[in-house]
Amino acid sequence: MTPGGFTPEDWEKIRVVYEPMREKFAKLAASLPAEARPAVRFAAVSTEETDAS
Amino acid sequence: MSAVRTIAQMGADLRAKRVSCVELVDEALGRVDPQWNAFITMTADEAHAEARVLDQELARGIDRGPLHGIPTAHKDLMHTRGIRTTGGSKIFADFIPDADAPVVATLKKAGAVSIGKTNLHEFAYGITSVNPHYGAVRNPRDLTRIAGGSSGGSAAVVAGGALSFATGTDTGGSIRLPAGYCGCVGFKPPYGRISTDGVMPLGYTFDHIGPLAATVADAAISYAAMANVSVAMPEAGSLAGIRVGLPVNFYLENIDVEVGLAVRRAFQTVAALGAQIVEIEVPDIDGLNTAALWMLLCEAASVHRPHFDRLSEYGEDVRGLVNQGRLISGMDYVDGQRLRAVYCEQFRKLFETIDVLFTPVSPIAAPPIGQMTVELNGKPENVRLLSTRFMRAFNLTGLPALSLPCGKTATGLPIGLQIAGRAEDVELVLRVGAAIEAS
Repeated sequence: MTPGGFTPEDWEKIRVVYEPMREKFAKLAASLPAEARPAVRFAAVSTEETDAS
Repeated sequence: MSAVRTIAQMGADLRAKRVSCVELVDEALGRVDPQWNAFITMTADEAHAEARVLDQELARGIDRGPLHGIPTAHKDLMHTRGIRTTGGSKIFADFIPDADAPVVATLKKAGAVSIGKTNLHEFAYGITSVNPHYGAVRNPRDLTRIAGGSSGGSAAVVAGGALSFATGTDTGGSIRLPAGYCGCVGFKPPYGRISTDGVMPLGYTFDHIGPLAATVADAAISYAAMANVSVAMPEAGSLAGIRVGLPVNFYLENIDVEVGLAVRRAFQTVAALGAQIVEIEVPDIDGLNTAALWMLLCEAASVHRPHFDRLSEYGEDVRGLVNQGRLISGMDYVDGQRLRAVYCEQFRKLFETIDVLFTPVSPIAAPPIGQMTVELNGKPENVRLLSTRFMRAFNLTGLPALSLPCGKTATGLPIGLQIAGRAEDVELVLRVGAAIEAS
């Protein structure tokens, strides 16, 4: 049984790109500071701001 | 291939009665080279009908503003009432929306006349615009090369000189990359400035709408109309007091030699105009790209969930990406959003020390159609990941980013410069771009 129930052929195509990225992401997630909260509202952008006329 | 007139030039000709709206439509249609394969659907009849109404309005003294009678085209991701909207896919090949997307309606109300729906990467989920159902968009500068994507058709018609602007979407660089590869201007506004309603989504928290345009001024005019905001026209001139960030890490590493030279010339140009060049260290962009792509895979899988039973009708590359997204856990997605908050804060602090940041649009110029890997500095690189390496940060942070030509390779391929800034500094980003364009 392959992850996601993919056929072995499909899974092989997915795996070669998915697995390295998954490992990379897992390292990033492990480095998260405990105080980090999800960006439900972007910190860098306020959509309330408008361009000066 | 001759340069299209700017929006301002066409507007002046219209109001001086040297040309009519119908003639502008005919001119645009006549400039479209079928070899570009830039359109999925052309709407010449509808365009002529709209142009006739706009001519009558001008004759009666009704002037809708700078876009009155200006031809344009919409990426075929945007709902258009009564005109099929395929998303570049097979499964929506016959989909005819019953309403315009707000951005389409806004442009129509401003007087812009659409001549058709432009070709794109399937579902906007890729950077080549080599579409398995509607054929590859070809780069007007070199027909053997990709136009970039996913807004490849819009870039081709603008860079090819048929239109002064066209609409695009940008989830990981899909406006800026084709602009860079084809040699026109592309502007990704701050997140949320232009409504994504009625536009087929790819990644809900990464999707942006914006223009591809012949000049920075055309980008400013069309952006102002699309966002329904006032924007000061960007004028070239002194950049005294402007702090331009020169990244000492990541953005100028592992890039093609000619790209590096062209981008460094842009720094010299703005320095000569009085800008202060500030060397800065940018956040971990490689990690940021991984987090952004991980979340996008997940969001796109959610978007395509209703069609999981029809994935066999998708192109192989898009099907592969959707399938990858199906494997990502909710826990990973939440952690991705937590990482996003960290990166956004790092960029907020970065922009306390600079006003704009310069980077290449892409480490390379447009690769040949069908080439999946390129060799860069002796190492094979995946074209998709390489091409979007410098752009994804501004989808994750939602900050505005402009792409404009800054040089050419020895073989004549365009090289793009990316200028990013704070969310509230759209006008500054455009002004710096106009200064480089004029030099």
